Amino acid sequence: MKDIEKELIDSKQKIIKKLKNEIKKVIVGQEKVIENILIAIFSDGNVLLEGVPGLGKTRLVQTLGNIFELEYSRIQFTPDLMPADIIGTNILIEGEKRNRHFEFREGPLFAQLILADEINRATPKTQSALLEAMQEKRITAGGKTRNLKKPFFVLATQNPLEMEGTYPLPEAQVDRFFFKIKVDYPSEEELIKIVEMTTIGEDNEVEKIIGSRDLLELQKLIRKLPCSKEVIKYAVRFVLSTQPGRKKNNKLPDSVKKYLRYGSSPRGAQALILAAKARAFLYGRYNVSIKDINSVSKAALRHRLLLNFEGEAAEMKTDDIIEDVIDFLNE
Amino acid sequence: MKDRKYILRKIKKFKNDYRKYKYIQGFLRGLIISLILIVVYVLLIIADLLFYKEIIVINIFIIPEIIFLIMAYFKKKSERDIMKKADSQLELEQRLITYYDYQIEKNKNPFFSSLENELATLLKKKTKQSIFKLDWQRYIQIIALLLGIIIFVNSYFNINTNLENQFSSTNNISWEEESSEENYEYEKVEFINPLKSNINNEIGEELSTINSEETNEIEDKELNNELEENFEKPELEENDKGDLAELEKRLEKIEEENKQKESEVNMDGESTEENQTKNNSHLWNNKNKDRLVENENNIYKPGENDNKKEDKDIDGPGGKSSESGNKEEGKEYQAIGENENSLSNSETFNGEGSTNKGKSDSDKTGSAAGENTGDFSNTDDFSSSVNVDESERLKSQFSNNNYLSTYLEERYSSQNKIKGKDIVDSYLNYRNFLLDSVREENIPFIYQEMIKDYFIIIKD
Repeated sequence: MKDIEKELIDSKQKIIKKLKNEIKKVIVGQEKVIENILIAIFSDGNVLLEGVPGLGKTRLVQTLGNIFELEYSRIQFTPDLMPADIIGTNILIEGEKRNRHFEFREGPLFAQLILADEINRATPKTQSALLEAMQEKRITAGGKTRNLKKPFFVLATQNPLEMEGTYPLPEAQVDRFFFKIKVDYPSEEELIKIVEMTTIGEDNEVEKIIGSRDLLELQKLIRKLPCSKEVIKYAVRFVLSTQPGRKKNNKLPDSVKKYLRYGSSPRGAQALILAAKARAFLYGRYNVSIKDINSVSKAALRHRLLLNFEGEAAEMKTDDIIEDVIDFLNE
Repeated sequence: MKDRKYILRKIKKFKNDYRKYKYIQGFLRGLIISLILIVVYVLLIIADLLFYKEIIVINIFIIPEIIFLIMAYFKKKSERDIMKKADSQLELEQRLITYYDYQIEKNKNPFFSSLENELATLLKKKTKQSIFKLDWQRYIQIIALLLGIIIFVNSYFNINTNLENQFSSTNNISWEEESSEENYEYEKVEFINPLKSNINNEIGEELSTINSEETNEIEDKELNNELEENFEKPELEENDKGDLAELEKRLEKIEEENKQKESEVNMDGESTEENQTKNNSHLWNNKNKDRLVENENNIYKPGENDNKKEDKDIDGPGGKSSESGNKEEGKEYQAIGENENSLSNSETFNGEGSTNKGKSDSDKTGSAAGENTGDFSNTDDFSSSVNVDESERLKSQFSNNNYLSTYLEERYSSQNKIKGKDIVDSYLNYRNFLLDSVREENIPFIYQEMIKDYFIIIKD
């Protein structure tokens, strides 16, 4: 039994290595982004990718869709996009005997890996159509609830600069994203490689490495990764330390007290632990460490912290506040 | 299985290491506290603020050590805390604590055996690293600092004390040189003047009654004032008592000197009778000295072998006993030493030497000096020099055991705590003075017992 489990673990870790190598064929650099996306997928979480246009967000998600043997669909969010456009709708169909009946036509959301491109361009009504799918992994349409295929991921992108004609995501929806990953500009060396790769030859083809079944097994396995109570306590303290109104009597980092309006929800603590487990597994370890928590904390919590007016005015970033919390906890 | 045993062994070792660490830490902390207490102790001694002076220094070391070791024994860390510490010290990234937490469900978790292998491998690599590291450098620095403070404060204090002693000893020398004469004069003025007048009377010189009266009145007033002023002053410090051995030596020397002086006086051109009287008194003195160290109850009866001179003109302070004195006090009087002559020649004296002798044999406690009891009826010129109040006051001082302290206070009131040899000299001078006074009957013979008592006290 143990040997079988060990073999399973070893095989999964080999798969992950392959996966990383395959992604590197298409995506140059952005290792942290790739790592975080894999962590979110292994943790069964949705990802919000934020970055200026042209950084390869969409390409990365497309690559992942190709590598994972999953049903992949891309939804380009626009202001006139309606919920029915993504969920699906009942349409009147005439049968062979000329009888007519309504039939539900599934929208693009009925896939396993969804690329919601420029999600902030859609109206809140359409954005909220994603809520149930993202959290419950099911869709209710025409009075009937339909389960989505597992695994199900939404990888959404948004442009932080172009705010005209956009609808910022409501907090409730943002909280449903497991990670918010910021995509930065590539370095000079990386850019040279990107240019060479995309302008000289043909695009690299990627293999399908992991199917949905393997991915689900991997997700279950990662959840079993040992995590001591000390690490769980640390994650909880981390989340509590971001809540300015909660720990009145205890000490908090100054930036939290000064610039935060709301802290992380309990979902943030769950995300920290799950992501830490996935990261530990990704790095070939068999336990979760505090280092894992710290490493995933920004991606897991940055979109769960809400700056107050003073924070906005001071152009504070939640990443800085998270760093303060890390320093505070490790003093 | 091997890995598991190895890890468990390691965990046990960590626990033992922790105990050792706690005991060593407790010991070092106790040592630091001890040193701090010693610093405080030394400072309190220097500042003379230590209330309880009988502190045994070794207890200052032992008690904090015991307290800290007991605390180290009772203040135990939980196993989880030890594992946490080991994790952080050995950089195991929470592997050990995770292993410790998942030991219970070791068979359920698919990762446990892998974690065990991984942990054992890492622990084998880090065998030399110790978990509980004592910050020796910090402890040594603190201990060195405290020791330095103690040594510095001690040496500084000693240097200061030595300098002070040197300074005070040089002062004493100068004081001795100056005071030897001054004190002599002072004694002459304050105390010896009556003796001097007696001696002058004995050698036949006529003293001016008026002068002596005036002088005595002034002196008595001064003496009274000074004694009254000093009467209530506290006794001298024990430190001022000086070296007793040296005191004894000096005492002997001074006695020898006195003998020589007396012999010289006897060698002067005095009448045979006077010489006889002196010799008798000398004999008495010798006897008297012997009696100072012998049984104090054996009171000498001086009139027994003395010549009874018929000279009415001779006034002696030793013969100051009078009827009134006898009547007032209702005691048997005993003439002492060289003043017996005047006592026996006194017309108004009730008892002759033989009578006195007999009475004094039976009544050893009833002797009183003439100086203290009154004056001769036929010695008007001298009687004025003897003050009844003064004699009563001196007597009361003796009886209250205050005379010594009063005297010493009087001597040293102008000096700042003279120590060492000066005090020895002062005692010797004082004893010498008392002996002279007894000899000259300025102080009644009976008080020699008290004098002896004083010096016995000093010896003790």
